[in-house]
Amino acid sequence: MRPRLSHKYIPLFSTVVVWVLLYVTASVMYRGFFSLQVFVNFFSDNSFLGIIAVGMTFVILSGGIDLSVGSMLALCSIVMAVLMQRGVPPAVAIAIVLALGTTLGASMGCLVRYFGLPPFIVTLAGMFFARGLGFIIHIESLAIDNAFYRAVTSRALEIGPARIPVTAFIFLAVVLVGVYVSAYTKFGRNVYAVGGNEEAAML
Amino acid sequence: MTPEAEPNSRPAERRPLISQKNAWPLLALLVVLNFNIYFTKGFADLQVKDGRLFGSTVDVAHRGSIVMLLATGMTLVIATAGIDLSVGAVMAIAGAVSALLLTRTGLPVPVVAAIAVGVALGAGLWNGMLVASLRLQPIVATLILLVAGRGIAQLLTDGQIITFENPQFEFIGTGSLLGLPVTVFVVAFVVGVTLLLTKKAVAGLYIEAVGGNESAARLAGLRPGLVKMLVYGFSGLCAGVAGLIATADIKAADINNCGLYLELDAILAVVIGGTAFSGGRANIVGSILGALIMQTLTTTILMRGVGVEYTLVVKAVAVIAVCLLQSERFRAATFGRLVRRGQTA
Repeated sequence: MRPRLSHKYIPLFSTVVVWVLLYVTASVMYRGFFSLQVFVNFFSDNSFLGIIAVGMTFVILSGGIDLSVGSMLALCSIVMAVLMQRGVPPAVAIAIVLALGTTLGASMGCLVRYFGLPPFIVTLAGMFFARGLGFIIHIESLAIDNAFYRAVTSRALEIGPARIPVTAFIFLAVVLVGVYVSAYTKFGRNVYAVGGNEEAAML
Repeated sequence: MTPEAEPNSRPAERRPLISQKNAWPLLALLVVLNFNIYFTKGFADLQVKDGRLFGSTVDVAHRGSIVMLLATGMTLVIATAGIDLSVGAVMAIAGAVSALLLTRTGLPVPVVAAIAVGVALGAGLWNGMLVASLRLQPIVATLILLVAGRGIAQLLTDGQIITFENPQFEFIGTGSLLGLPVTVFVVAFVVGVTLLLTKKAVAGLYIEAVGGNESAARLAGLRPGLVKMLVYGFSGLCAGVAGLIATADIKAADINNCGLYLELDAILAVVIGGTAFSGGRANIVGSILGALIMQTLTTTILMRGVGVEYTLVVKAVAVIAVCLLQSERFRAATFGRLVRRGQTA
């Protein structure tokens, strides 16, 4: 039993070990690093990275890769900013942007699935496309100045000395959804199967 | 080795319209060039000033030289079913080394160039070692230098942009020979040597064998590990030469911007040229054509006054279009019906 478990979890285990080592080193080297607020901030400051990683995990599990996520992030945020600047309500803007991201991602998936193009190239082109589209839509940085938006995104839960911003909760929620879908749904099992051996999975 | 169109043995068999593998990229390049010649003012003009040829076509060849060099090395790497994401960063390292040597030591320019290219070769061999000996995935292995390479160059230069004044060195990037830019000759030399090695010597055979089926290659007596190491080393070498050109061009080692994102342009050039990612085929001429196509597209956009931000979208669309045309499923879906209809007569 034990050897089988170790083999499966070695990558995760080594990542955790490296993380612990880095954390301990930083705590020793830098005053104030070892505090609850700093720990909480890791979840909120890097929440966008973590959310992207959850999506990327599914792609890599299925045997592909997605190089376009960073540029998609930029495109979606500039579209959202431009929409809100034009007076679109934040909730509608967010919905539009989520639909945009999903559509672009699905289009790339279609090219990979139906025409057999390699994921590397399709998502590379997607990266260029999204970044370029973002530049075309608005070349400069755009500040988001919307009262409702600010009210929602600046909320935080205060627990003792720590202040947990809403972004951290969104991140954790996405991670939980990702874990559930990958481990407990038929779709998740299919993703693993396709990644393992696509032809066998089709059979 | 240019295969002629195969003669029909049976009239009902579909005869391939264009059977030479470089026909599509060449056609695309001709289309773009002709578009420019007719619709872009002054594109085809050539002037001779101070014994040098000036014109947009010359510009395309000169500005595209860096990507052409990167694409040459990248073609061989991709032919082994690998990828090299680090070429941009290796360019920066080579630039930093050469700028440092030029400003801090009195070494002659050829020696400086040799050392800088040697360092780049070393970086490539490092990549090759990771892929061949440690058996890391090429994406992951070359990602290391992609991320850390610029940092290493920054450490070498203490984060400064190092400028220099050395007409001999600058000749590499800005000089001209027989009226044409030196860079064109550099590219021609490197591509010529590469073609010699791959077509006339066994190197090409080994590379395509390793990329096509590594186990079969090993059983046939080849050493895939060595082949891969040398191929990544060669890619680093090309990146080093490209780095020299880029650095000589601006008379400075600008670590942050040298070769930034150029690895992607190189990969796109190779894809447009028709070398498949699964490995097994090395189409160097195709990659050069691909690089020229992309550079012509960029020049077209700039010359027509369209904003430079459109270049990204245009490149993306161009690559997808080329890939779709190369995809059999797409061709069957769109053109299949046309061909079948013409055959029943």
